[in-house]
Amino acid sequence: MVIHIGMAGDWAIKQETVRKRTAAYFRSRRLPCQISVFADNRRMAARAEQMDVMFFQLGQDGNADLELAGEIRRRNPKAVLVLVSSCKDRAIWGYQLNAADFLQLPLPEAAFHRALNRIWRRLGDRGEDKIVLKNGDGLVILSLQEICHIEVSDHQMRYYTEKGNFEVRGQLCTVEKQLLEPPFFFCSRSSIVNIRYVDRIDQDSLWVHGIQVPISRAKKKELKELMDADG
Amino acid sequence: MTYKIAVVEDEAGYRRQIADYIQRFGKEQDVKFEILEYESAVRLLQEKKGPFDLIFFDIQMPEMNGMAAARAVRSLDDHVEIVFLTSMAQYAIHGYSVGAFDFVLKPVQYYPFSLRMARVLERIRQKQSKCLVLETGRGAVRIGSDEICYVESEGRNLHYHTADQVYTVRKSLKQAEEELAPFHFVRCNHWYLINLKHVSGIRNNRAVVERVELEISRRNKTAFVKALMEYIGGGV
Repeated sequence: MVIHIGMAGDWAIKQETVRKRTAAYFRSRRLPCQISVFADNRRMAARAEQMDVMFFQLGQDGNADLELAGEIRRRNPKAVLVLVSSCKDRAIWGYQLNAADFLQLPLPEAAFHRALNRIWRRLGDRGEDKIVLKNGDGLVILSLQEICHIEVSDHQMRYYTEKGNFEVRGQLCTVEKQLLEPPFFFCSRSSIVNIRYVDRIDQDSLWVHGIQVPISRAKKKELKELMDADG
Repeated sequence: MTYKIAVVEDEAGYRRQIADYIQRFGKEQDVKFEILEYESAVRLLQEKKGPFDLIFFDIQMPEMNGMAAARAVRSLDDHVEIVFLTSMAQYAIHGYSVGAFDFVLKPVQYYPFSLRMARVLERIRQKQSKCLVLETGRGAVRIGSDEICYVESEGRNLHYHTADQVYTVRKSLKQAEEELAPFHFVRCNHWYLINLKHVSGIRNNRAVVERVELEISRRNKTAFVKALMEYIGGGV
């Protein structure tokens, strides 16, 4: 599951720290997010259906903005909407749009963090992707976010997770398809890593949640590009 | 279904007007409301007649203002809908911190009020479909079905276990099973009903539910595992 976040308006374009803080927030919760910055609200509205979260800046033309925000809400009733404005009196508009929050510019760090917490709460209603592992004892249910990396050897797959390590019989080609997409990455034919748990990349290995995993030079370059794109 | 609404407003005229509007809306839409009126937020908090489905708060009141009262209510009830009624738009920015549903400026006319009532009622209905009211010895408590990890039967009582509390209710496990059927609850044995959302695995015929292990009886095992696999929707 990737959270798609849209930010529109000059506040988002000018404030790189806002984007970095948002990415860091979701990274700390091991949830991949993709942040798109739009020059204006209209461009974001054109992609409203694809967004899970939208930061909408209210400009000079209040009525036009309200109408556009209403259109965004109609197109995507489930998206988490946050209004942004330097004018505190416009906060009242957010209620008819079911906005999660209203941010007054200039933006104090604490207020932005509170907004992210509110967004997180609203997103929390969405289910996590989970998989079931069958091992000798019974079953283990893991959310994808908990998996740090997977290694296979002699038809035994070892899952390294936040909850501990689990061994099941199988091969990498049989894993769930969600493990074939970012943030999961094939380091080699015998290991998949969750890039969100990569602590460090050395010359010919990487450290994933405290465990050393070998990686080729070619794969290392590919991994770095993926991690840069992940924010 | 009767919806319980509190109107907290120190000015008697406005208080009566809102209560009348709610009654009128109820008659027009054929919806039943139980309306409790409070001239002060302190009385609302002291009398503990909740849980309410909806509370209307004026903001400027003596003793305790509506925003502080809303914070106090929210700390006790995550599910109640809150609507502020005030002539002071500058407070609107603060309503988000208590998860207010709406912020209505006075004076209020019936027609715009009725549109807002329709919206908030829709939200209440959606939420109610995922919530339960438990009649405990300490009063009625509303919780989301997702909060319940498992239900334990002991004599004539049921203990509803959540992450940080246990609520005891006089009821049979069969009744709870019927009530919780839409919410992914499955019996693992004669005494326990488990919320599949909180199952993190099965170990030696015991379901691991948060930090507790509950035995799965031989009789229930096949149905339990099938329900769990269907709920998760995947496997390796």
